[in-house]
This record gives sequence, structure tokens and C-alpha cells, in this order.
Amino acid sequence: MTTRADASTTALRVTLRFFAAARAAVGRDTLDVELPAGSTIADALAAVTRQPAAPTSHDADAVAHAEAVFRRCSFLVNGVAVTDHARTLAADDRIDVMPPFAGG
Amino acid sequence: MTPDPSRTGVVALADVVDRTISIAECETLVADDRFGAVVTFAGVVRNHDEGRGVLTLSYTAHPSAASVIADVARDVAARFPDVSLAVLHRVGDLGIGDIALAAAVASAHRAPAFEAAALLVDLVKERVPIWKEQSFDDGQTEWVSALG
Repeated sequence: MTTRADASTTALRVTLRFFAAARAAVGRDTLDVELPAGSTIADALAAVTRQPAAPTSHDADAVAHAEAVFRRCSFLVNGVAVTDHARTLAADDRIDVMPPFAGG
Repeated sequence: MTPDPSRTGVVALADVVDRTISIAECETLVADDRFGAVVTFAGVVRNHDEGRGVLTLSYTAHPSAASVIADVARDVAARFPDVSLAVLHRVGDLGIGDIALAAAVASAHRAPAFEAAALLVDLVKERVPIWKEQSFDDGQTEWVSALG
């Protein structure tokens, strides 16, 4: 499942993988999104909440909840830890979206 | 203090598992005739959180969790060259009283064993990508720490 931001400016496709509260908020394990060049992690997450097939997309409360969960997440981009939501993405990046850890 | 890489403690075990865990299995792995101190820790599922009644906890882990807990254990061992340690984190559905985190740290004397055990538990909670969803006695569920 892919959402198309704008076919004329689409330059990269990335794969997001969601965990725990992020997975619950999105209602999916993984999602591919297509984004304009120069897009950031924050842009990718915004595309997720616009994703027509995502359960969140038609419910303002669910979108707000997903945004609140995303705000506190850290990431693995291709397996490397990233905390900056403004980190720019490259084609075929794999982004793990991870809420704050709560082990123990 | 920068650890001396030529001297490091021993990591007897560090893993994330989907089964019952015990303090005894960790303690057995670190026991040694040289060690006069064994500090153990059990992280146990409790029946309340922030004033609400808890019925069960469901733990899930990122696929990297086992390698991260091994990294954490090695880091602690590097800082405490005279200890031996073992640590297990359980995932899956746990009930009240079940052990979620088991650790044992042994050393010749008690001070490094206490210090290393405290650091080990702190770093496991901070760095290992594990999450828990609480089920409350009012029927609601909540991902712990997800929203602050």
C-alpha cells in the first residue's frame, strides 16, 4: 500500500515499520510512502496520517493521537538510531518508528 | 573513567526470551568460588500503576532487543572488570507476580556487585527496545510511556 504525495514531485519511496503504541495508532505493521525529494522523517509521518487506507485517516481524534505518539518516538533509519524528526530521507530508507522504551 | 579494554567483567548471559525466567537461573550462571557477593534483581509485574489496578502486562520487543541487551551487558562488564553478570528480559503476556526482568551480578566484594547491578537494570530500561501494554481492571489498556 502506497500513498502518492504528488506524482510530479515524487522522488523517493521509503518503508516505515511501526512498533507498540505507534503500531496501534496506525493500525498497521508497515507502510510504504512516496515523498518529494528532501523529505524528512516528520514528512513521512505526516504522510502516514494522510494515508487513505490507514484507520487513522478519517478520524480527527485518531489522527491527533497518532501525532502525539509519533512526537515522542525515536527511529532506526536502516538500523541506525535517529532521534531528529527533521532528518532527511533517501530512497528506499527503512524507518522503524519506536515509542519510548518501557522494559523492566 | 575510560574502561581498560584489556580488563572486562564476564557476561554469562544476556538475552530477551519468550518464556518464564527466574533469578535462580541467572544466579547459577554467575556463581564462582572467588565471589563473596551476589546481587540479584527481579523486575516483577505489580498490580497497580499510577493509582489504577493492573491485571496483566503484554511485553513486545523490537527484533534488535536481544543484541541491544547483549551490548548493554558488555558495557556494564567493561565498567566493572571484576564482576560476572547475567540478565534476562521476558516478552509476551505476563500476569501479576511474574518476573519480567531477572539479573544477577557477582563479585569478590559487595560494592561493585551492587553498583554494577544498579547500572545494568538502569541501562536495560533505558536502551533495550521493549514496550509494555497494561490492561487495567476497568477494561482499558495503555502503552506505558507512549504519551508521557
